Amino acid sequence: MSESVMTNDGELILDSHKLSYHMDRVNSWEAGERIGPVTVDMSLTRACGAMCSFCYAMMQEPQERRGIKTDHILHLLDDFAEVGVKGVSLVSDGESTLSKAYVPFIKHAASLGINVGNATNGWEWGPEKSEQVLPHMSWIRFTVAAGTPERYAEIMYKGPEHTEVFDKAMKNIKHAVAYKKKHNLGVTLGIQMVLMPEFKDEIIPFAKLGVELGVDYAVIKHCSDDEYQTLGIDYSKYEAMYELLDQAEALSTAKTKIIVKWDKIKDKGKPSYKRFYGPPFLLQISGSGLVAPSGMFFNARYSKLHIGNFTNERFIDIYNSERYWRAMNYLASPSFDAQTMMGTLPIQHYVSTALDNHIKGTKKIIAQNGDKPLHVNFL
Amino acid sequence: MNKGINLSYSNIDTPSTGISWINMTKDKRILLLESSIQLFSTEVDISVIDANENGQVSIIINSSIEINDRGAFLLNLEENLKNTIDVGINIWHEAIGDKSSLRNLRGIEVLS
Repeated sequence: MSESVMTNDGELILDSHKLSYHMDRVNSWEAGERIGPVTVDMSLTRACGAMCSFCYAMMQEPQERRGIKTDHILHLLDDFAEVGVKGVSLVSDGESTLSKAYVPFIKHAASLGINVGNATNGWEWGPEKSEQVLPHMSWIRFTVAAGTPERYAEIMYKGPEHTEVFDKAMKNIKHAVAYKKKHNLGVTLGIQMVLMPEFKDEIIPFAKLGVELGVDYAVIKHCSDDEYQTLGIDYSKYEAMYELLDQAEALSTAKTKIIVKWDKIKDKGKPSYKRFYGPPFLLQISGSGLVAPSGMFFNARYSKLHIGNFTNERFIDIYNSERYWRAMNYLASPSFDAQTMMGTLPIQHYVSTALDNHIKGTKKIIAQNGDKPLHVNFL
Repeated sequence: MNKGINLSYSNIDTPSTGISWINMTKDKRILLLESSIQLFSTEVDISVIDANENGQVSIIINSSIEINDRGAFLLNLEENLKNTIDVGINIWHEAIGDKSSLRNLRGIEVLS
């Protein structure tokens, strides 16, 4: 580590990991002890009103979906606090803002001292909802697939003529930016472009839009694909976009940083690690209630790695079960090859790379003292 | 205490399938797998739908099995097949496509 960018709110790390600030967990893990996740990435539903062409959720259908009710998520958060979860990101495989449990979830997490971040399209996130949650959030990242209304609507919805979704998102993002400023909130506001090679014409318009909106950052990241290339991502085509990406970064202003996740983009879809060590530190939970080590394994295809469902069993019991640790250990065993048996560039990628290098001795994780970066509890 | 993660395999290659598995026809592999699965469990009905040279085996569970038991059952089954047939075997359930009618308008079919 650390590839960080200095924003007006503090040091922001998006293209690396933050394990150096959680050495108690790293040391316990290395000593063979069971550790609770520092971060959980999850969704409150698998539903979504968008239909983004790059969406990994299309490959994440489990054997059964269960409705997540408010009672479930309140218990879940209590259990997270019990096992030492410090941050929860509402990203995963659905649009959490659509859930009735969304606002109660964020308020209850805040009361427990658990940090919350949220990635959303922002379509159903008008002031009546956003103003309730913004004071309690660490970050909000809006998915903005393109910088122009027509391309945005084409990539995220039914076609270029449906620019009303772009207009709605922009209105809600602008409101959030103004609300943050007015109330001097600590929440970081960003927009994100998931870059497929065919979207390269939108790189510069996206960066300009980020500056125009006045968000804290605009990040451009790779697009994940499964090991069978269901989405057909050709990672060899990313290199031809490096110059455009450099130009986009150069558009950064004092207020808005344009950030490219170079590390993942340059990996070209193949990790350096064979074993997948990240999930015990950064667990993922599906909007179906499924608890699996990673979103890479939500589909029924990976049923052997499905540990439980928190809507019919308390998370604390799932976490304490032998099956939880057996699934995690399977990913650390020779039976599992991270280079061929899962999709590309999972959310645990940076953490897994760092832990693998640490164990191999090629690059040790070293404790960081001094000021902590923003969102330190989101690995 | 060593109840957490075993970290001793970071440099170890995943085992490949052996010559006898590779030289078998796909039909023969499937028959062999089905008979081993029958011996492993008579209570859970499983169909083998593919068995590749590289050891990747696709199955379908036809019986109802609770999620709390399913994962461990399949890991036990895989371990058994590794021990009795070939160490390079990995089992995967047949993939399920997205149930979102809106996202399905994209026409993406989950490959396997």
